[in-house]
Amino acid sequence: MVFQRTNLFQSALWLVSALCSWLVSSASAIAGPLQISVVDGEGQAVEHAVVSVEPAAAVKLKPGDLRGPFVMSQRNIAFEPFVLVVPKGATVQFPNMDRVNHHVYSFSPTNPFQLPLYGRGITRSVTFGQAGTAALGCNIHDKMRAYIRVVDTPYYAKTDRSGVANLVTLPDGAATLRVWHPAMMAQGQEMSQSVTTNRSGNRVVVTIRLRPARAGDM
Amino acid sequence: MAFKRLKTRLTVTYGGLFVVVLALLVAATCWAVINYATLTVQREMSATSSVFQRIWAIQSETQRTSADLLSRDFGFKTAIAKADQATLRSAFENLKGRVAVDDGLVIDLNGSLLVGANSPIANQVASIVAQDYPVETFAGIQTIKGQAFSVVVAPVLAPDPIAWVVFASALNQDEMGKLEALSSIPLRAALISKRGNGVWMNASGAESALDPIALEELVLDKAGRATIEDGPHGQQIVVATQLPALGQDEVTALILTYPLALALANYQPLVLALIGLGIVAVLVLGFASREIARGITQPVFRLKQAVNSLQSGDRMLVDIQSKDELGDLGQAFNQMATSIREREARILYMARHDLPTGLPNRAAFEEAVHDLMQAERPVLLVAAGMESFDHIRSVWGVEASHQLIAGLGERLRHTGQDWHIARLSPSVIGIAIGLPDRGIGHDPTSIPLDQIATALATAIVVDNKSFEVTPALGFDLATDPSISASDWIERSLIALDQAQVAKLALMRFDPRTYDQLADNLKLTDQLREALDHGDLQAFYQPKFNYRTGQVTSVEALVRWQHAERGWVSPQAFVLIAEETGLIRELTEQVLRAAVADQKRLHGLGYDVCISVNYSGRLLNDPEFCQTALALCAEVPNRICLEITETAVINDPVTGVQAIKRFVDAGVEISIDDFGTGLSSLSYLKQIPAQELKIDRSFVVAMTDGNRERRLVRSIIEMGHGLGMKVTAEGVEDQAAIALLGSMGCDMAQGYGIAKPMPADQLLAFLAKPLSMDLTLDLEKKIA
Repeated sequence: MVFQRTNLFQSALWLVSALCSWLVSSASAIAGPLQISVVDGEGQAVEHAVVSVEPAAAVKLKPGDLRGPFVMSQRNIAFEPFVLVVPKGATVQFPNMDRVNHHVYSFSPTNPFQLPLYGRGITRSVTFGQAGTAALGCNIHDKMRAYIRVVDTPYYAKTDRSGVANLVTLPDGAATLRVWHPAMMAQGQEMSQSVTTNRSGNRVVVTIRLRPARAGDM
Repeated sequence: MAFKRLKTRLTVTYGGLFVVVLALLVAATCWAVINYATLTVQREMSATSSVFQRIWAIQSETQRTSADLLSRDFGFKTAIAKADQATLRSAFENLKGRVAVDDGLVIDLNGSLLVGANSPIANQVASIVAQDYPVETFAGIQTIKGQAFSVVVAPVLAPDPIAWVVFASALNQDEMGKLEALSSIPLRAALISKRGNGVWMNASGAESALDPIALEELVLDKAGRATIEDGPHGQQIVVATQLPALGQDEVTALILTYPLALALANYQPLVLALIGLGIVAVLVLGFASREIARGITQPVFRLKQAVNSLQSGDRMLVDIQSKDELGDLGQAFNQMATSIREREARILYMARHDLPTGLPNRAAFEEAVHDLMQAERPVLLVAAGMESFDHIRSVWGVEASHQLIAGLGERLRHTGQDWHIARLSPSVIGIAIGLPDRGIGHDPTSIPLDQIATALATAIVVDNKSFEVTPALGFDLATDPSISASDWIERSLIALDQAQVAKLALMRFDPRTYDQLADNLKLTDQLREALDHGDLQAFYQPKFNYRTGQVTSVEALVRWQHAERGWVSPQAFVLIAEETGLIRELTEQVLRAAVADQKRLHGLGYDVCISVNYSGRLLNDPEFCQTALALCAEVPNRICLEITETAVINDPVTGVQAIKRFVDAGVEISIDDFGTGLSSLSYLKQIPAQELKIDRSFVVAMTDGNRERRLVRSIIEMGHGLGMKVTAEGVEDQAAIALLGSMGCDMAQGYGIAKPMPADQLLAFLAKPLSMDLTLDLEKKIA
C-alpha cells in the first residue's frame, strides 16, 4: 500500500533506489535525466502517481512508442495494475484471468467503452485515441477499480512504492511536468508545472493533496 | 420567644411541634411524589427518545436502500455518463414512486443538478458533496431555514463518483406530531439545530427558548438523559437526543419537553389531599392542645386566684372537680387554706385574749379604746385591781384565781352591755366605757364607777366557794384623742397604783404625781451624767464631841448642784442611785473625795475622822468592798463607814462578814439611822460597830415629852452598853445639845452644830475655836 506510514525499512529502500537511479542516469550521456518524487501533504511518498513531461517543442509520438504491450488484466476479481499509463493511440489488452466473467466499462468522457461479459482466457483490447483518464469498473463487481492514464507524450513514468519516478531520456530545455493521481484533489486529478531538463539531470519534488483513502485503493 | 402563659406555651409547643412534623411529612411526600413523577416522565421520555431514534433509523435506512439501489443501477450510471436527461429522470421517477420521499435529486461532480428542482436543500447538498467528494452513502438531518430534512446522499460510482443521488424528506410538525403520538404521555417533540458556533434554532427558525448553555450541556453531555430545566412556561422535563447531521459543522438534536406541572398534575389531588389533611390535623391538634392546656391551666389559674384571695385574707376554697393530680392539689390547697384559717383564727384569738379567762387582753382592749375614742366621746377608763388576789391565788391556786377573774369579767359584761372588759394583768381588769357626751353638770363617771365597784365587791362563787374581793379602782376620763389609747390605759393603771399606795378604793389619775414619776426618770439620766462629769461634791457636817468639846469627826454628805434644778435633794437622788445601781459610782466618788480631803486635813494637822455613808447594798458587793478597802487603807483609821442597820439585816451573814473585814482593816463602822429599821436587837450585837447614830426623828421628837426623851436616853445607854459611842443626829438647837450632853451622848450632829459645808469651809470652821453652851437652864425651860 502506498499510504502506509513510513518505516525505517522503507526509508532505507527509497534511499538505495534513488541512489541507483542517479548512478544510472548520470552514467548515461545521451539522456537528460529527471527524477520526480511525489509526496502528499504529510510528506509521505505517493505511489501510483503518473508523471509526464511535455517538452516546449512539441514532439510527435513515433510508432515505436505505441508498441506496447499495454496490459490491464483482471485477476482475483481485481484489475492489475491499479494504474496503467499509456501513450495516446496505444491499444490496451484486457485479459480475463479469473474464472468468472467480467464486464469492464469506462464512462470517462475522453475514452468511454464497454467490454460486455467475457470469460476466462479471453482477451479484449481497446485503443485509447485521446489523452485523458479512463476510470475502469466492472459492472458485475462494484469493488473492482482501476485507471488508465492516456498521455500525449513519450516521456512518462509512474511512481513506485517510494513515490519516485525517473525519466531517463528527455530532451533538454523547458518542459511542462504533469502529475496525475486518481485521488488527487484537483481538477481532473492532475497538476502541472514548468521544469527545465538538461544533461546534468534534475530532481523535482512534487507535493500533492490527496483525498482520504477509499476501499479498492492499491 | 417566651410565652408568659402556660396555656399559650403548651398550645404553641405541641401545636408547633406537630405542625413542624406534619410540614416535614408533607414536604417529604411532595418531594417523593415530584421525584417519582419526574422519574416516570423521564423514563417515558427517554423511551420516546429511543423510539424516535429507532424510527428515524428505519426511515433513513429505507431511504438509503432506495438511494443505493438507484445509484448502483448500471443503466442509471450509463444514463448519467451519457447525460441522458430523459432516461435519468424516468429512472429516477420510477424509483421515487416506490420510495416515499419528498424530494429526489441527482447532483453531478460539478454540483449541478441532473435531476430535480433547484432548491435550498439541493444547494446545501451540492456544496457538501463538492467539498467532501463522498464515496459512501450517508444520511443525516439537514436544517434549511428552520425546516429539518432527513437526507440520504448516495454516490453514483463508476467506479469513481460521477454523481450523487439525494433523497430528502421534510421533518415537519406533522412528523413531530406522529412522534408525539407514539408516546403515552402528551409530550412535545421539537428539533433544534446549531451551525458552527451559532445559536440553537428551533424548527420555526427562531432562537430556542431554552437556556443555550443548558442546551449545550443537554445535547452534548447528557444526551438521552432527562433533566429539569426552566422553560418559558415554568419548569419542564427535557430530554435531548443528538441526531446525525448531514453537514460536519451542524448539530441537530431532538428535544422532548414535558411541563413539570403536567407531570405533577396527576399527583396534584394526592398532594392537595395530603395538605388538606395536614391543615385539618393541625386545626384539630391546635384545638386539642388548647383544650388540654386549658384543662391544666384553668385549675392552676383557679388555684392562683385562691392563693391571692388567701393572701388578702378572703375565704377562698378552690373548686376543682377533676380526679387527677390537679384535683389532689386543689384538695390539698383547700385543706391547707382551712387549716391556715383555723390557725390564723386561733393565733388572732390568742393575740387578743387572755387564754386562762377568755377575756380580751390588753392589745384587744387598746383597740377597743381606740375605736371608742374615734367616736369623739369621752371614754371612761377604769383599772380595777383586786386587793386580795395574791392571797387567793396562793391559797386556792392559780386556776381558782383565773376563774375568779373570769367570773368578775362576766359579771361586769352583764352590768354594762356596751362596756369593754379586758384583763390587763393577772389581778387587774380594765373597763372602757363610752360616755354619752362630754359631761356638763354632774359627773358622768360616778354612776358607772359605782356600778363597777358594786359588781366587783359582791361575793362570787367559784368551785362552790364564795369569794369576796376588795377592789381598788384607778380611772381616768379619756378626752384628748391626741394621747394614744395605750397611754390612757396606762394612766388608769397608774391611778390604780396610786389608789393602792394610798389605800383608797377609788382614785382618778393625778397628773402631778405622774409627772414626778416621769421626772424621776429624767433625774436618773441627769445623775448618771453628773457622775460621769464629776459634778457631785462632798460636803462635810461636823460632829461635836462632848468629851473633848471639839469637832473630832465629820460626816461626808453628797451634794449636787444641777445647772437647771439648782441644789438637788440628796433624799431624791440617793434613793434613785440606790434603785438604779448608780450608788456604786456615787459612793466611790464620795469615798475618793473623803480620802483626798482627809489627806489634806491630816496634812494640815487636823485629827478628824471622816464618816462616809455606805449603802447596805454595797456590803453584798465583794468587788466594791475591795475597792473601798483599798481607798480606806490610804488613810488608816481616819475613815468611818456609816451603815444602816437594815442593810445588815437583809443579808446578815454577808453583811456582817463584810463589816468585819472593814473593821479588821482599821475602818470604823457606824450604825446609821438607828431606830428606823425596827430591827431585831439580836443583829445589833453581831455588828462590830464602834458608833451608833440615833435617827434624827427621835432627837427632834424629844421636845414632845418625857417619854421621847427617855427613849433617847435608853438608846444612848444601850449603845454604851454594847461598847459603842453614841451620836445624835438632827441636833438643831442649843437646848438639844445641852440635853443630849446631859444624857451622856458622845457626839452631836445637826444644824445646831453646823450645816454641811465644802472642804474649804470646813478648814475655816475647824480653825476657829468652838464655843458650846452646855448649860441645862434650857432643859428647865423645856420641861
